[in-house]
Amino acid sequence: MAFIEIKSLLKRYKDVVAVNSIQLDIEKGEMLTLLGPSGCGKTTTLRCIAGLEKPEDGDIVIDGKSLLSKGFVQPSKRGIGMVFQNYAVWPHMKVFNNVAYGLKLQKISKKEIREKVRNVLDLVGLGGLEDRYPSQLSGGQQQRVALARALVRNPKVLLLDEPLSNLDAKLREELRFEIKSLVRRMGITSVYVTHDQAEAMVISDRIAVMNAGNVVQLGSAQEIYEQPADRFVADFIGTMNFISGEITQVFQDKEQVSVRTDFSDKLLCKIPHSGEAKPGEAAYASIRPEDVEVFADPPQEKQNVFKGTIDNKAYLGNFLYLFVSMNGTKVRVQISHYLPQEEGQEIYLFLNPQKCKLLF
Amino acid sequence: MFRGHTYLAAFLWLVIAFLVIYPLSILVGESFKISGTDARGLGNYLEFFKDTYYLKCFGNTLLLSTLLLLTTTVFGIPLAYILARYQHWGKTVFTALILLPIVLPAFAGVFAFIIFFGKYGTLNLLLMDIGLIEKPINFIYGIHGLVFIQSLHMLPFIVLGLSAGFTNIDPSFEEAAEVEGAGGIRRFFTISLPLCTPSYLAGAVLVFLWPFTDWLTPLILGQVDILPSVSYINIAYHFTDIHRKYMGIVAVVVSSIVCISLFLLARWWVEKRKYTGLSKGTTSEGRVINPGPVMKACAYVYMIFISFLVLLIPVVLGLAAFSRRWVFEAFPTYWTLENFRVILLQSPGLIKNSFLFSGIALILGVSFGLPVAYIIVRTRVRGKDALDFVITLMLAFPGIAIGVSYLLAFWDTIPLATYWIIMPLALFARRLPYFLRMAHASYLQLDPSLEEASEVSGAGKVHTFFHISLPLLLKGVLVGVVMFFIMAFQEISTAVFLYRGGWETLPIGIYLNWHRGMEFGIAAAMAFLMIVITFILLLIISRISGGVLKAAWGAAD
Amino acid sequence: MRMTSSVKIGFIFLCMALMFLAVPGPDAQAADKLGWVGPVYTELAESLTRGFKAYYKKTYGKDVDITFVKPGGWPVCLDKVRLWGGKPDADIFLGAGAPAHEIAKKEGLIVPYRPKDWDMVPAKWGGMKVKDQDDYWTCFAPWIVTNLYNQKVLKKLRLPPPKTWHDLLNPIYRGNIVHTLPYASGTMHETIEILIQGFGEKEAWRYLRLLAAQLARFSTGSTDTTQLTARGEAPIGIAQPQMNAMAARKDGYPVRDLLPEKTILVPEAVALLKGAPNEKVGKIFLDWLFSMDGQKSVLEGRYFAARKDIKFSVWEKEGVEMAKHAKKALGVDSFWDLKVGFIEYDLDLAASRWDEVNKKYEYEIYRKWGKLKSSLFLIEEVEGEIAVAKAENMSVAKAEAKIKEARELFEYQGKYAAARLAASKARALLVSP
Repeated sequence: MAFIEIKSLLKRYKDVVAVNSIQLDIEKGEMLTLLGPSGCGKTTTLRCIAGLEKPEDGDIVIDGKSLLSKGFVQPSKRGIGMVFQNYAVWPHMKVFNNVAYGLKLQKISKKEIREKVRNVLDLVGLGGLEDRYPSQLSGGQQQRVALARALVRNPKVLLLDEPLSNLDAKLREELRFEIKSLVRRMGITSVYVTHDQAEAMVISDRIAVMNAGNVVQLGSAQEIYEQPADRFVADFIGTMNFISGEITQVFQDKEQVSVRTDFSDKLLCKIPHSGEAKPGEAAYASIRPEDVEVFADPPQEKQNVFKGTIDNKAYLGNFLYLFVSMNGTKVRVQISHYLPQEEGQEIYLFLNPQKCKLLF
Repeated sequence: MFRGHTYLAAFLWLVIAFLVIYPLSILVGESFKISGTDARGLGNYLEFFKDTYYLKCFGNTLLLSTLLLLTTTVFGIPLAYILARYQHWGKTVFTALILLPIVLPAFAGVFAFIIFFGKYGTLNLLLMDIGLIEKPINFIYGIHGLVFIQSLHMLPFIVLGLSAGFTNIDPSFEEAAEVEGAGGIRRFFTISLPLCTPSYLAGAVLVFLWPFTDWLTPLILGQVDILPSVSYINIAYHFTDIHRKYMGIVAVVVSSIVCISLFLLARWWVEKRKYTGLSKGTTSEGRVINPGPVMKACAYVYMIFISFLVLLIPVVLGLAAFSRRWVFEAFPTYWTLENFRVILLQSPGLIKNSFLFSGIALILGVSFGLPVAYIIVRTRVRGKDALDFVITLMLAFPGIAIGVSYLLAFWDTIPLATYWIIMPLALFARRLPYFLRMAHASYLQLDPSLEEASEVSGAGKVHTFFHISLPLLLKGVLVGVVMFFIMAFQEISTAVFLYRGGWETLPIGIYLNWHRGMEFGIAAAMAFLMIVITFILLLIISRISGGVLKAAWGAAD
Repeated sequence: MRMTSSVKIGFIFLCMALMFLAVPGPDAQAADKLGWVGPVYTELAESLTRGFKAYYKKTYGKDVDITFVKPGGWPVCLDKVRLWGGKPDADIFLGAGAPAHEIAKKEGLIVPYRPKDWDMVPAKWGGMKVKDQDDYWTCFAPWIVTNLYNQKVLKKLRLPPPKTWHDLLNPIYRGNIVHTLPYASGTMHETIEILIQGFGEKEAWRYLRLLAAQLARFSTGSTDTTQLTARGEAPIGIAQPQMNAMAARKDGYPVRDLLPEKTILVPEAVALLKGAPNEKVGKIFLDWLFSMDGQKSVLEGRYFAARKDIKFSVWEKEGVEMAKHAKKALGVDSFWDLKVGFIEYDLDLAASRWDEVNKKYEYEIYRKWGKLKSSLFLIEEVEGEIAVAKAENMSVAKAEAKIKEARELFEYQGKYAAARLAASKARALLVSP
């Protein structure tokens, strides 16, 4: 049985469904990220786990204990730690009191509290700053205080709501790894909410991609990047070219289909379950810019090679970025080698059938 | 939605129903009663709108409102502009002085002006002494006097609104006009002033409604044909003529309806066109101009003139407080501390009552206002907007309506008016909106995640409130608390209907001592004492919120 | 340091509950009790309380608790006694003029008691009863419905104090007189009744119209009138309880009583209630009230003392502060030395048409005050023109007849617009007869 079970969780704001009966299991010690654009329901899901929102239907079970079906368990009784997007470090309390706040509510001796707070502050790298007020700390330090506060009570579950979004880029990258190693070391089951796919990929064991209140794909970073479940995931994670067309032929044995597009009658695409595709259906052939191969002259390969014109060419240091149009269809291409052709000149593109996937 | 919230909201609604809706509905019900019968009907209202006298009073009140708004606007625009835009010495002092009338009791101003501008007041006597005039000039008795005295009292509301507007306008709007070729005056009238309209209107509606609320000033000046004064006289002096009382109540209801409709109209209009969100980018605090020497001199003369009029109030009352038999003399000649001795030794009850009643009202206000602010800002309980609406509406209700309705509602079936607790309850109901608005504003500024973080850390809602919300709200709430206290301390228009022997507060004491004509020195001393207490309280707020300006702002915002 | 939330909330509620309970409770110490009900000014009640408590302590060695109920004017007070239905919450009906006591006697609400020194109060004065021959009520503080003037201001304006009602109509006083509305003040109402009963209905209303044109403004109550007169804003105040002059004097205002030739006496009286719970103490109080000590307390309470055998000048020497002001305000050494012309006052008639008279005044004079003045001023103007024309030997007969008609319309019928029109016509007739 999973450590956290989210069962057909439904949350509505008046007529808008924020979380649409989602199912989600999170294993003990796992770091799961809820990833999605703003308004997809990821923060609402997190707040439902915390008990800050009261869902209309469904249940949340943590460590075998139901939080909803047997009466609503108040957030204060759920034994969770939470880090907020804007830190929520209480400005009227010193660092020590901020961190010790939750401990003081438990029956713990003062000495023990002091010890625990000192330990956790050392852990987050804030040792010696106990007597500072939040206003005397930098943004990164405040976020560390928030983290320490969430960790100090050894929560069963740690919830992180876009904890790094208010920090500058450098600090953000640094803290990602820090949080990951810290949480992993402590073995706390955690749920992380972000809209930043890079952050999600770095930090999590598994990622749940959410859209419009639904979990559209659940899997490791690699799975999600390489085998996006649908057009939304493919588009949201990384950059993807979508070429619209119509299926003309299905090759069951090779898990391939042939698609008719504006620039070609036969574009071969991979499809994991080719039985689902039927000739005559409209679909998208999708390929990531870095998977497109570019040739100055026509290559040996016969299949899936098309001629195109460079619309724009940009030099971005470690790679070149091209906008190529093939008979009106625009494709983004990323290559890491030299290309003599300039804007307006013709090149050949190879859309590798192994990497070109069909999405509906 | 948490069940506790629903209970809390239900309890708050209960309080509102008992202290606001029930009395007001009794008031309205009473206005339909036909004297001499058990019947109810529209008869009183029909009479009101047919009777040329009541129509005349209604017209007079509207005329007074219009003149008042006109005067305050004409005098307020340059004042606000100078305060907001001109770079000059003593800005803080002048601002504080010009805003002072907000916290001075309205009746204190009237008394001071009668002493100074009366027929045989200081100014007339001085003019007669130097031979400029033969017979005294009538400075204040008449509609011109009413406009003059009420304008000075209401001027701060206009100045506050306009100067906030002038300060907050994104300078790029004016710069754009300048680039387009608009000259100074044209720019002022086509860009700056129109952009201020929303913040101006918020103050303007309060100014316009003031003549529908203030019964005391017309009464003291003998200009009784103004709606609230007619109501007061009809209700307070009806003797055996019950019909007169009902007509007074009708007048109260009519004024209340006018007040509420205008208030809602203005609110709707302001909401509709808020300009503040339209600009992005620059963060500078408006433009500060360093005017030429002539303009600067004019600005100083103007500010000193207004400040002089404001300062007359405490100065004249002070002179009167430390003297006796100041009659027919330009300045008092007989100095004494007798007035204060009488107040402090013979009737300290008034001071005690004032503090006790305002204090209880304050405790009630805080223990009621904070939960209401919480419900409105932090929860999604059904009907919370209605709660907000009802309480905001109370801002527009004339005090006389609350006083009379309490007297009617808490007499027979619920005889609360026979116990002194009615006094703080009435003060509480009357001044609650002021506190609520401030609590509301500070709650809005408090990030909810600060409270959520506490709940997640294992604290219940109540613990969270006392350890997180309250300490963080404290600054805003404290300013609200002090303003609430000042307002409750000065309240007379509600209290005058409810007090009985032994329950008199300082304002009632002032009114009685003056109005009865016997102890005018004592009335002045009481008013002076009130001003001193108000000053001390203001100093406290300015310590908390960092400036008298902000403190005063809180009152009008 | 750490308090649980429930304790904290409990504490707050406890505090609030305590504040509600903090009503001053009755004194635990056993003391004799005495209750008054009546419409007298608070100053009198305070002065009598102080005086009687001291006397009681000195004579009986005990404290006495005094409660004073003042639910409103005298009709309301009487209603209150009726409501008690023979089991009153008070012992003494304190204050209100004799008419109220006559009603109480008729309805059996009071019982007879003749206080010691009863003989010191005159039985009749100027044709009016000052005490009840059956001992039901006795006047302890007489006063007269009167007018006031400010000596200092009138002197400054070089105006002689007006002596009679008709003096007040002299144009020299125009704009210097103030009075209130009859529905805002019982005394003003009585003044109108006095005029009606003293001069006859027709003349009285004519007089009131002409007087209204003399006013600087209407005040909002009889004490407001005192205040305005005292401060000189309007140096002559009409319809005043006589004590107000004395009270204003005490505060240093140069105010004097202006006794009109036709007025009434208000014998502020006292009586023992039927079924009084503290009858014994009540009788002690009544005895004390008419003693020299009690009467001094009355004067210190800003009411005139009722005994015949007192002299303000003597009391002044004995240290009674108000005696000096009383003497200055009245101009005589004892209340009963005043020379007054009283009218026959029919109280029943006055009571029966109370609202009617008030309304008539309000509708015909107060509400039309502006029109009234402009109408009269025009009439006066035209009259002046006619006088000049007459001196120039022009033919003015028609104009004179017309202006008389205007006067008639104004004074006796109260038709101000019609009177104005008539005056305009008179003026036209003057130019082209």
